Amino acid sequence: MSLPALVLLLVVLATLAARRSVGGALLGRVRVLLPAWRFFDTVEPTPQLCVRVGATAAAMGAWLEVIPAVRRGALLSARSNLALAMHGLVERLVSADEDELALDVTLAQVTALARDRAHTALGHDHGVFQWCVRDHDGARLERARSEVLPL
Amino acid sequence: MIGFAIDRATACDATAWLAAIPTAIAAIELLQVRRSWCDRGVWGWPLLRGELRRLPRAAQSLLDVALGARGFTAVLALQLAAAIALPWLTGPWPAAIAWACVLAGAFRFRGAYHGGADAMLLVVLGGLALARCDPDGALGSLGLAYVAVQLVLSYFVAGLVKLREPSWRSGAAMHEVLALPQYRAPAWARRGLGSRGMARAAAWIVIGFECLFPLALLDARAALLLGGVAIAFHAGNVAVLGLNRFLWTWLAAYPALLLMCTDWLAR
Repeated sequence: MSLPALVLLLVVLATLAARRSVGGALLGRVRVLLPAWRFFDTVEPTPQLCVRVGATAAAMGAWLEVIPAVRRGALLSARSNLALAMHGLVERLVSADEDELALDVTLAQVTALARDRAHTALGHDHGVFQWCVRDHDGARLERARSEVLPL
Repeated sequence: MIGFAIDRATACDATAWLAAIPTAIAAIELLQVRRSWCDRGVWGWPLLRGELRRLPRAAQSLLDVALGARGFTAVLALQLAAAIALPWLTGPWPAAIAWACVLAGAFRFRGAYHGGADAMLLVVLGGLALARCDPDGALGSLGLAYVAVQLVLSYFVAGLVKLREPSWRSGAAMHEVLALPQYRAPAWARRGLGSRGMARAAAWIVIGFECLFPLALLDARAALLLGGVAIAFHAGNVAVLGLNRFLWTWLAAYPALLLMCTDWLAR
């Protein structure tokens, strides 16, 4: 077998063996070099990130959806793809598939996302907010909830 | 038997023209949402670098320069410049630089910003860079063959995993995908696939097309036919799921597939 054919065979075998997640922060960040191509292998309800805000912890408002619904374009779709990345972040939080360092970062990112939405909802910097992740189906089972945090 | 032929130079040129589009789109889209990855954003580097604190200090300092807000703006500008240069400069550098920029973006966004689209863009740019390093030699052949093989695998693996999944075979997964809130599928699509029979038929069309895609390697006419179906499939994904970058990125891999089945397999 020639060398190019051998290389291509290795590519095929590596792709067939590849999984979505790869252990370790550094390896995980370059996992895109070994694509798994397992699009929609399982379809599960997407968790929904919600936030509530108030002047104090005792005066919180209703839960609001954090990730906006945005228009999509065929050529450029920056906002829509950003919203998809936000959903991916929330899925990552509830997947429990990360080591401690990575989970800390994911948690901080989700908190930043919720804080951003809380700012928009309140219109100023004085107050508190809390986020929760719940299933997007009828049962609305809560998967995670933050403490009440300052804005 | 084969009604047309494409040579390696033409395949390289066509790949370069087609790859320029998703490379530019990826850079422009990220520049448009700069607020989300500036230092105070959700993907701000001060936040993301926390995951890499076990790296040597020199490596961390280098990453701080390259992937901080200012550095990453420069990376995206370089990616855009490389995208513009891709069709015009025939050396390997535009593709290699674009590849490095896309990889830097994926690394910065903790694995990928746009999932499979980033992965396929890296495949295409990497293969093109190799092909242009050695336009008439074995390395060039390998670069384009790598693109073609990954293109075929991208459909075949996706088809196999669906075939194994009972919810796909029954059509239920089709409903579930259309109901996923992040895609906000339009009402006409949800109505069109509303009945169990329609959803099941659509699921089997997708599974069948994806699993049969390796036939494209055997015959140029099959490649053209399956390529046509694939373009319709990706256009449908843009309309229904909003996956714009997948259309342009996958399109860029097709010249390599056509070259593989008209040239190398005909030998």
